[in-house]
Amino acid sequence: MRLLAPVPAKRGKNHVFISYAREDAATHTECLLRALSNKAITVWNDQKMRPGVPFPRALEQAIDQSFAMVALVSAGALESRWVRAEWCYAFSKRSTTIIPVVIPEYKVRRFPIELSIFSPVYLEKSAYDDSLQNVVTLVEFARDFPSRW
Amino acid sequence: MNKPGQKIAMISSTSIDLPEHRRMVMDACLRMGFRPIMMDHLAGQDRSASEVSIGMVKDADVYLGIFAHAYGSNPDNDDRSYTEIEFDEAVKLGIAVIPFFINDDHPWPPRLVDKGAKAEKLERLKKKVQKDRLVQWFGSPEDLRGLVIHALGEFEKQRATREDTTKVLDFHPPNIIPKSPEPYIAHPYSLLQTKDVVGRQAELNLLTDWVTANQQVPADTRIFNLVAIGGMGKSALTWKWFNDIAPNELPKLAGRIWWSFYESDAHWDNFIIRALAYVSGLSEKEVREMESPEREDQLWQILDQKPFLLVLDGLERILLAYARMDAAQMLDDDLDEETAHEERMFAGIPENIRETYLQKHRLRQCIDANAARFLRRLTKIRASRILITTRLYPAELQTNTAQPWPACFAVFLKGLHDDDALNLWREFGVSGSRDQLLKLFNTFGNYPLLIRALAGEIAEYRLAPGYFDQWMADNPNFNPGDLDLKNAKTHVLQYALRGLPEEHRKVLRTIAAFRMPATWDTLCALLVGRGKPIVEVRQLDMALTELEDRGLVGWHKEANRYDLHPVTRSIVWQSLSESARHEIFEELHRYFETVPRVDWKDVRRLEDLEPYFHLSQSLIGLGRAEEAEQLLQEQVRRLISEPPDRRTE
Repeated sequence: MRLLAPVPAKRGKNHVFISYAREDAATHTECLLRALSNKAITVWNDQKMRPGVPFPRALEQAIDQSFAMVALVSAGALESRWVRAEWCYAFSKRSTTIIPVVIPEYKVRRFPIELSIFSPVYLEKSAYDDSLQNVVTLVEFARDFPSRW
Repeated sequence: MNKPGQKIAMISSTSIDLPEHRRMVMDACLRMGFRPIMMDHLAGQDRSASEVSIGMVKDADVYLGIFAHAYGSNPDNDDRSYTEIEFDEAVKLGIAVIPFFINDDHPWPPRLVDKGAKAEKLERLKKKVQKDRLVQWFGSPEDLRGLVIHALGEFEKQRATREDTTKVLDFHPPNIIPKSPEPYIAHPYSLLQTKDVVGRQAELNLLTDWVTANQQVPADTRIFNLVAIGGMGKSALTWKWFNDIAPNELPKLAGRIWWSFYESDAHWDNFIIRALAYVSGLSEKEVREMESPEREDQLWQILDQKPFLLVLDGLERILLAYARMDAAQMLDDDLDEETAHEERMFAGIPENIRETYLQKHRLRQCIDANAARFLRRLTKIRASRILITTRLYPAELQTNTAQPWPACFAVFLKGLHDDDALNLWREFGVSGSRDQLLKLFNTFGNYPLLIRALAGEIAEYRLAPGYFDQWMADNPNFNPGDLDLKNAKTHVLQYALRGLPEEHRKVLRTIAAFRMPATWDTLCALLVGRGKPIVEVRQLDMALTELEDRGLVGWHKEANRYDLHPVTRSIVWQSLSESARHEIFEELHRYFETVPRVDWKDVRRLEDLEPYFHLSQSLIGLGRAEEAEQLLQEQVRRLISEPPDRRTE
């Protein structure tokens, strides 16, 4: 019985991009990084970026080369033009699968409009590891089953 | 019930001699966004027939008079026939009158031609109708349909000029929650609605057994899951059972709900809210004011205590595997392996693959934890029954050893039985011997979508319409038998689309570019007119009719929207080159840039911003991401400062 037979990700698309706001989603990003690393999935985040310049080429390249973007939805992200620009850019790269993830602290019943056509995954305090695992599963799925849009 | 602002067309004619014509005129009205009314719709009224007939004219915006060779019957207190009474009333009220007369060359059975006094009355009526009025002549039901489409189009143009109306497009089906036990059809099933279900008697019987004898389905089953790949007909057969069979087999139901997760507004939250409004009799506004856990609890309590039938169509859309923008474009074939969904597993899996299985089956879990919990709770209800159609069986309803959860029953729908497959083929009037055809059908698992599509193609084959042998001889590279199942399906569908005229293809491609069903108005604007692929509205109607007949396009009549089956959508979209896609996005952009959008002050739901999405999506398709971002950000800023669900007038 063949159960695990991953299809290789598209050529040149070898990592997952995590888009988040440092002020309120850094901890969740760390947890996510660990969970993805455990599965040997390469992650790109903003550690090496110099903030302040909108859409630098390096950022575009990083999104271009990602097979998936995990978009952490938080109050800080909603207020950040920088983060939302990343989402919009990824949205324009139709071969990047976007996975919106709502952090547990974000209680407001509104959702960023540029992500509203996706179904988000909610990180739940009561079942944190399990919901984190859902995100990892979706990232793996995006890698094995690339976006066709 | 008509949508707010929807116009009404009164169809006035004799009925016994014109059933097909009346059906065509009804469809033409629906296509053009009019709600058709006619005398057939007066059953069960307390008033006299003539009162009802006159009342209908009073309600109408336009009167369509269809005149053939019969004068028709009249009420006891009036010498005039109902048709003449209706005509006189329309003239008296100043309603737009559009008459259609039968041509002399229209074949007509002599028994349906009036003679004597009635013939004289008909002649007088026709003269009266013709006076100061342009009459249009039809030679067949199809001809009449085209004339009605054209006439209603002209009527709309004149009205728009007269009233200088700026129409805001309605992208969503009307949301009207009836009072139970009247069924609540939140999202009518649209795909293949124009054709009856062929075959599937065994599955229909199984559903009936579930609610009656329980010889095959255990009596404690509360959730019946009908599982199949797209195009197998699961929604169509469920729709038939829900509409035609369930009301008879379950006469004491407190109500029935049909909810389709294929629709863009069909979020889990919306489902809970509207389902609760329906079963409780509360208004939607009252329900929205409740906290989420309270809503779920109340809905569960009512379903537990009162017998409702609840259909959740297309449940896969709320599962993790479908939490992607390209869900509508995803091909079915790889999903089973990717999600540990092979049917044999449902009998239970051995210990040594359990871990791998559990990793994979996570993709079949609900995205929303509330939905997951509620699904599990539904297995414990006592009075109601839940019928789920889904591409993927939800993991919440499965044990860790892959068996269905207690009180759940799963049926994996396969291709049609051989005889049903042949019957479906024969409906198109296409030739072919039983052996020859079954050999072909078996190469793609008797998959009904493909049988319909291919039969439709051969029925319209220009060199030899309906001749299977000739079509095969002229297509020597058609060889699904040489391919595996997955490639055979694609191969057959590619051939089935081959003979389509260019304008039909254009219609398919345009619909494929939308991530939700396209409206008639949008298709007209994009495709019809000077310099566009289609010259006249009636040609678009003909193209859509043919695509519907072939099972390639689904028509949701109530909302007048058009959709492709995911399998067709996927193949049509993926067959396009980058430049062809670019061209389509350019057209979409040109159009959506000019359509009126819902004013911010009128936005009530996120869905109201849909036109902005279409525009931004077209910009993104054109590689103009920054402009799309700007457009979205503009709306975002407004949302941030004033979220719609918190706003009050």
